[in-house]
Amino acid sequence: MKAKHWLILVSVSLVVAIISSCDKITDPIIHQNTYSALPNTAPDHVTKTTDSTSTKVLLEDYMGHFCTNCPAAVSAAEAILNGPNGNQVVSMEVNVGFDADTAGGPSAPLLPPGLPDTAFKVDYRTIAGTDWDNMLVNSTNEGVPQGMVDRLHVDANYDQDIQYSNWGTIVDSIIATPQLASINMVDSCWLKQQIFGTAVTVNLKTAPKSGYSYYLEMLVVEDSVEDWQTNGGSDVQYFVHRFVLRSATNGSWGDQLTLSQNTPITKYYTFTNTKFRFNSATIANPPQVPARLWNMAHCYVIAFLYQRNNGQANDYSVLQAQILHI
Amino acid sequence: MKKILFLSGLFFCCAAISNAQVLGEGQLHGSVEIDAQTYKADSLIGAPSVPEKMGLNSYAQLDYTNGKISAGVRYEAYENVLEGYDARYNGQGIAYKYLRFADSTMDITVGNFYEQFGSGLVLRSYWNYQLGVDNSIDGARLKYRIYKGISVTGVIGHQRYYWGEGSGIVRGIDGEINLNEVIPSWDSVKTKIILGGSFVSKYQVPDNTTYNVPANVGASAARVSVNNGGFNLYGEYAYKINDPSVINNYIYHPGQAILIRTGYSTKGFSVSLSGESIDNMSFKSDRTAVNNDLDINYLPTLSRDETYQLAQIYPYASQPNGEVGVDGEVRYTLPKESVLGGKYGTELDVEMSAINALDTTNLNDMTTTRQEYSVNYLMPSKEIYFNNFTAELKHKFSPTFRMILQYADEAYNKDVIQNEVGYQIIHCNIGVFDGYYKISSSHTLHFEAQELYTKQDQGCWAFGMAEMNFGSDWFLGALDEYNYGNPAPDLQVHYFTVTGGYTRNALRVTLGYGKTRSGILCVGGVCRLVPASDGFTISITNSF
Repeated sequence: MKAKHWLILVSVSLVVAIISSCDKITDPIIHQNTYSALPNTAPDHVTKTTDSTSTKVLLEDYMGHFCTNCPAAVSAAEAILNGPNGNQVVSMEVNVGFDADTAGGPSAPLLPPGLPDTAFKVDYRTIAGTDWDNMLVNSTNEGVPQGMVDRLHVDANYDQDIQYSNWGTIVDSIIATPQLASINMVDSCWLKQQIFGTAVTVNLKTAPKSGYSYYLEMLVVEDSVEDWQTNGGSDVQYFVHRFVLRSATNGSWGDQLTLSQNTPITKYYTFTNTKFRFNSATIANPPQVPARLWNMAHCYVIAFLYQRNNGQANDYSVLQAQILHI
Repeated sequence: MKKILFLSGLFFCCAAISNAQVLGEGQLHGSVEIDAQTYKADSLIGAPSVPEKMGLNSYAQLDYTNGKISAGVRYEAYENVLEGYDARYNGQGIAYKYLRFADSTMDITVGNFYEQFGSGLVLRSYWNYQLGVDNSIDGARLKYRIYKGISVTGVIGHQRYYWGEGSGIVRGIDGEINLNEVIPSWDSVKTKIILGGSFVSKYQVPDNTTYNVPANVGASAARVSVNNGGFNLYGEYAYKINDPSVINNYIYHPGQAILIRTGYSTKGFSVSLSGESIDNMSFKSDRTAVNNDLDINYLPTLSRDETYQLAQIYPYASQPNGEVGVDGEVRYTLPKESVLGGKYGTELDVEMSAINALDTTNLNDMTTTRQEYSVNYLMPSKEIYFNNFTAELKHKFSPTFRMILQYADEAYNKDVIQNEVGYQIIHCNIGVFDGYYKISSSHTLHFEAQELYTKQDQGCWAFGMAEMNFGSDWFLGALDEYNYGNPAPDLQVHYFTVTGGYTRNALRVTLGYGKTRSGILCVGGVCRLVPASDGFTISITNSF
């Protein structure tokens, strides 16, 4: 066969190959409408959010057990939650750094003398909390308590975090702005199997910005954890910690979403952990669970939507947050 | 220091070589361009503080040909990139390299290449240094002349993406038949007909977690070109299957484009008429790419390519998500020695463009089939994107003096074209006087006076320019762009610039100092932002 014939044969083959290179899509949306690995039985209880029409602000309190000033920040967050706009605030404590090191690391604070062996033994640090601290807060240099409100950009390095005395003012200013997105959640919980599933529906109310990406972060927090805390000059055994971050369900930086204006997208998450405990049939009055374990009756799931500007490395602004008791 | 050494090397290289160099049996050709600017912050005009105080864009291209073999490289350096260009260009290196074999029937290229099928509706890879656009394909290309008058072109590769490559693979094939060459009896027929067809497909891993995105997206086009004496007709239609992307908000509506250009010309008279309709025809090798990144195709614009400064304040950019427009132009030369033509004749040029949004109906299906809308194809909606009427007169009064007068009336949808909010349709009128006066055999004075009148946006502008050419080598000029009608009195700013330079053969050196207003720069409907600046500029170009 002559070279010319080979070329014609190759060309024709190329034409056929290229023309067949079209994928016609008839069902554009990925329907992930079943949870992975949930029990076949009916859930013990189902909860759902009912307040999706107002702006909800994410308030993060970066702290540690050995931080003497941190209780003041906890009180500031508590005051905001109990204030007139408290139902529009999603607050959590994130334990990070040196002052949260109860694992006996080489640089961990020394245990104050005269305390029981069980004091300051629970390590509340998380992978996600540490990642956020390294990327956004920098508590190693700034110390704790530090905070962020909707992860608003403060400077290029996020080194100048927001002092707790200013949290309320900033929260109020954000609440006064139009709602950018809504988040609805439905949670199904199986107590004995220590597992729950959450359906999260996100709706962007404005047109997606060119050059921006959007991410959904899912968290598990435990409220009213009673454990040791240094407070001023004293060590308090039953300090009540509010909404302590226990785990990030979908990693430190969440899942990227492809959003369109007013086009709700639903994502499904399943979560379980060997530290979950719930050993009573009465949900309303659960028994005490050791701090090292996670009391399911006190657990909440937090979801928040944030944006990344592809041309600006430090933009992690939160558009909307939501919280639901599991 | 590294930057200075590189700059010096390029300059001496281009100064030392003035003609094509014969190396062995082959020939070496090259071109060099260096553009540098210093930056001074000016909060009044919005010129930002640039930490590095200066920027530099440059390249040197070398092409060597020896018989049927040719090879070339282009070295680019951006230290750091000039303001207004994407910072991802920062750095330096070889951005373009190729090896090519070509004889009378076969043309094979490996490495980087630029290619265009038809008018570019389904494939056009090109480099525009001024716009900062380079979507060259790095891969292989085969052009083969199957038979007299029949040729095919096949391409495959990845596109350049700043200093890397896009993730998608581009594959394409194009065929063209010249009927007058294929059919022996048509050889002497006055009417010349060329038919063509293209198919281009891209592949990208479907990595979206929300939508079932197609891994392979194909686009095809058919075209015809007819010429008969002074008459010419070119038509091309393109179709693209579902191609959800960031640009179209992840809709699955197919894309279509049609382009028709026709005209007739004879001595002293020409008329042309063009029409275009575009629907969802952004075609990129990466579905997440934005702006001018990784464009596979090119959507030509019908609007006039403006050359005058104030006429460039509101330039039109092609709208890939949908537009429909028409453009008509008549040129007529009043004969010499006639009453209106005068001793040397007078050229008249009248052009009208009208581009609107495409007529569509919302389907409210974004949670199901995501077609988003149905389209009344070829029909415009009431939403104006761009209207332009331009009348131009060129007249030579004497061997030493000639002038151009131009008037333009324009409607410009700034919200759509520049992706802004709250400006709506800007109406403006522009007048231009452009004169050339030959003072002596070696001295020519070129001067312009322009005015843009509008009650909207930044208000009225005036422009004046004078440039003196001393012989064929040196020139010196000054211009002032004055925003005298800005609604904010403190923003009624003069943008004054002085320039001077030297030109000899292909070498051109230009020095300048002054302020530049912010705006957008468009070439053929493709645009980039130009930020305000204040500083010195130097530009050196040469080729051999």
